[in-house]
Amino acid sequence: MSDEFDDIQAIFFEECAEGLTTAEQGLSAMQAGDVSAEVIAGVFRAVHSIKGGAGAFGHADLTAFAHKFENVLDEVRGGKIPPSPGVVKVMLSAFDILTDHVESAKGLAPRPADQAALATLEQVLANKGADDGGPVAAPAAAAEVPAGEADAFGFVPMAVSLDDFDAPAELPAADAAWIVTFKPSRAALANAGEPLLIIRELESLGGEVVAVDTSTVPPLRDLDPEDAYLTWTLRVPGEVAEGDINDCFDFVAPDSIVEVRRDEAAAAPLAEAAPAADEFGFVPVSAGIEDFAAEMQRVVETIAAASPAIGSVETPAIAPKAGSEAQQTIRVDLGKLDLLLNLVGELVIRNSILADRLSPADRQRVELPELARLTRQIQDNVMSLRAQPIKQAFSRVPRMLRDLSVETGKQILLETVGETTEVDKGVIEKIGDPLTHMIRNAADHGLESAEERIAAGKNPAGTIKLSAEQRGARIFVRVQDDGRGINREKVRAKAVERGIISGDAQLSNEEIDQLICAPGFSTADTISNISGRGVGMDVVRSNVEALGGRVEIHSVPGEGTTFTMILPLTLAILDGMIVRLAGQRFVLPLAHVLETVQPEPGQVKRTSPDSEVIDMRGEYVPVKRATEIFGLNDDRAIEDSLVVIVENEGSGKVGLVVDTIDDRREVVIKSLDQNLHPIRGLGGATILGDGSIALILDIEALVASTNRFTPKGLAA
Amino acid sequence: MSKLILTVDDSASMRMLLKTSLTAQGFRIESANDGEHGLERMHEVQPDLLITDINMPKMDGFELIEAVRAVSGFRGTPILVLSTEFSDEKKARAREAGATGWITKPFEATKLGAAIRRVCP
Amino acid sequence: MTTTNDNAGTDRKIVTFSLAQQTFGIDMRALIEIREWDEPTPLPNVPGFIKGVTNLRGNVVPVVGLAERLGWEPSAIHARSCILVVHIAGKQAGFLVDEVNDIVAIGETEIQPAPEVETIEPSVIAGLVRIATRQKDGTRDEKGTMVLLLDLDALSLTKHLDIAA
Repeated sequence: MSDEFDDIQAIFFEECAEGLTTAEQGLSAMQAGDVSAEVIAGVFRAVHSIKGGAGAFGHADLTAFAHKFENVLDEVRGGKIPPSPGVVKVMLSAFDILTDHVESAKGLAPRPADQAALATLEQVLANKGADDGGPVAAPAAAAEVPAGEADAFGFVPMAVSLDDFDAPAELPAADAAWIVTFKPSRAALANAGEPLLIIRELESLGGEVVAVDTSTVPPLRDLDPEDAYLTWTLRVPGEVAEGDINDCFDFVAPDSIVEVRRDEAAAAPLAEAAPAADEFGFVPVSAGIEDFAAEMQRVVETIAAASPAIGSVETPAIAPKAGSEAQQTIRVDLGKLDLLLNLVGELVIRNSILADRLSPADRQRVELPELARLTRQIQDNVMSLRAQPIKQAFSRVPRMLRDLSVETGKQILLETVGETTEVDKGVIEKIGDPLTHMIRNAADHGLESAEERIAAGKNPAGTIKLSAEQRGARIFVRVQDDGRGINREKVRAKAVERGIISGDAQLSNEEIDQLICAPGFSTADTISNISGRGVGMDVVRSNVEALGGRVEIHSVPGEGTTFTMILPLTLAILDGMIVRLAGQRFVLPLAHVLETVQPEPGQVKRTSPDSEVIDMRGEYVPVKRATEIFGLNDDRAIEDSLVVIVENEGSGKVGLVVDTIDDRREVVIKSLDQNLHPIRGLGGATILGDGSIALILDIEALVASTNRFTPKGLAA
Repeated sequence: MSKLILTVDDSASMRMLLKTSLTAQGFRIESANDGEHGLERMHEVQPDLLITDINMPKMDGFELIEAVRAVSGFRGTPILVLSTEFSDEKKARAREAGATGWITKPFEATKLGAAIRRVCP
Repeated sequence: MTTTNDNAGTDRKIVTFSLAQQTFGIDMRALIEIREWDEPTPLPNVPGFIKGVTNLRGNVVPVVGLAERLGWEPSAIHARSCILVVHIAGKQAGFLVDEVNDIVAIGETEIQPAPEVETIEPSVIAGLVRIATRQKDGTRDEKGTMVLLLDLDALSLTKHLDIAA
């Protein structure tokens, strides 16, 4: 049962995440000026839900904080506290603490220090939001947690008369029984209330009906089945807690006459009711139990016989809402989805192998393209199951920026574009950290202080723009700041100092910018808490490359810097060309392949001791051999080889010398990251039909390596 | 045949908690995740008891209860409100809407059982 | 096939193997499987001790020449060479060893701290334990063998990034 409980709690935590997102969006909207009822109600509901669930799962601190927060929200929603900027700011801070409480409830973080936030919320409640800067009220000792048993509403138990007891001011003897009088009103019956059930409940507590007053029951013809005419008196053992008795009358009490008091007489089976009962118009009928039961029976039978069957449920023919727009969703275990994805991947591969084994004539038959089309459809659909809006990855950013704003003392505005762009869930998981690093970099290094910005004629508040865009088979995620841009002199000098480049290396601006991503680099004079040692950008690049993508940097001094992560849309399956290089098989992403040539004598020219080019209809394309890239043995003469022209979008072309081209095939990408780490020059590996491994070449790195910039170390 | 309870709450975890708790007490459970959906389910499954939350999007608990009571066939169906709130105004409002009883969250399974017994024959 | 030390509290089971005339051991819980040597697919741009990657039931798993990793001459491949596939820090890796010997139960208390062995990187050895060995003629050699227990985490492949960067 506890496993089940954990499962349910896990779902609760997911709901918390959703609720927090909704609340944050609402609060952001309010901060931007949208204080419509709808927005406020949305935030209230989100916090209310979190509080409710938190209570059910026993997270007292979270419940307490959420409760206080909810109180403020309730007042705002009810118009009692105006949603002024000051109040919204308080709520935003409270939201941050609430988030921390949720993490703490999950056991992922220590309990947050919420005294200050609680005090501020308390103050807002007290001042009704007026910003009068009054002293902060002392933190409440503990926020009130709604009691689980606040059921006795509307019911005022009669004070017990002590006069008849021997010892004045002495509490009634513990075993003095309760006398309970119950006269339900018409209204109590209206809401499908059933007094008999309440009576049974009291009986289950040990009570017994001692009297029923039927004096007000009218003649049958005047009997209204929906009205109440009976009054019961019950005797309940003294050990029963008064609260339990009151609970029974919980909801009907306001519409009924209910009296609960101690029986001052000695325990006798049929106690006399106290004279004070007169106020209630109650006249005890001292009848024997048997008589009473018989009488009840008679009354009930008469009523039943005389009245038409109440409560027969009509079943109007209501057709289910046609075309209901409500989007039905289902929660799926991610493990199951991944398994499905793997199987689809296998299906794709088998498809390819099958195609290979067929003779060319058979390949033309309609069944194969049909099969291929079907497989492709399944593949696309399954892939799309994993696609989610990138918004999730962006959700941490506003809070991060608020914290950064405080830490750096800079005013930072955030713009977000393209949050609904859908990407593979794996991408969302993996870009969180890179995104964090890039934003921290922008805030810490990119943006200038307010004074500097004013001096430069800029808005004192810096802007960071976060955007996501899908173009073809790629996703572009950009972090753009309008800060000072990259100081290339400084970067270059540092790189030389760190031995990353030689002193006389000639580098283009783009190449210098990319130095930021080199391992062991940092321009910060002090090690700042925020962006670490500059190791951040190196990690960013390797994380992105592990996903099969790359990082582009574009900077204009004085105007700002843009970091772009370019990621493939689908991670798992690649259309590839299998080639052989120095006896080993590699995969080239077909999307990057332009053409293949068998070089003519003289078509490949050597331009310097370590570089060659191939003449492609007048255009000279640099040529790369296996030896240069991977340090493999490569003795073949170029004339016996093939040259595959590949292109990296925007960066240029390369002619890759291969021994042979085996075939074209769809392959499932296995990340090297899983058991090893990203390797420059490779975009992963794949397992071919015969069980052997073929490495997938990273075209970007291939093309980039043709630039004469050669860093030290392992990076190719 | 055990009693059928329809639970309406926009929180999946709460619905699941209720289901676990109530199934253990021998009830059959159907559920809906908001007021509108709840009303549809009422017609579809004809439960012996309706348990609903108050704060839900689209159609809140009060509206749901009123809508259910407006159907003559459901006038005799007991309705319990299950909510974190407990103010007098809210309870009065629920009663006016037609609720038979009110349980405060967080609930103990035994109290929930007792509350159900009080309203559901 | 399990040899047990007489005083063993049988707290742990270790797998012992030979490499360059030394006997090593790893915790059996870390062992995934033992495979025959198969030429791995070489990788570019990696340190020499990473011989390449191999296909382990659909997973791409790196193969490490353990001798080279410890700073010695590469192991010669022979008939009994095998690859120990293990868990390290959440990942899988295969280590080339000369021969797998035995599975031995040892008591936690029998493990002695690692000495300064100059030929071996200190952090790699977690401890020493002496075990009785079974001879080919069936007799037990009570003087036994010193087994160097490897700290697999120290052999994690992503650690080398710091060294080589």
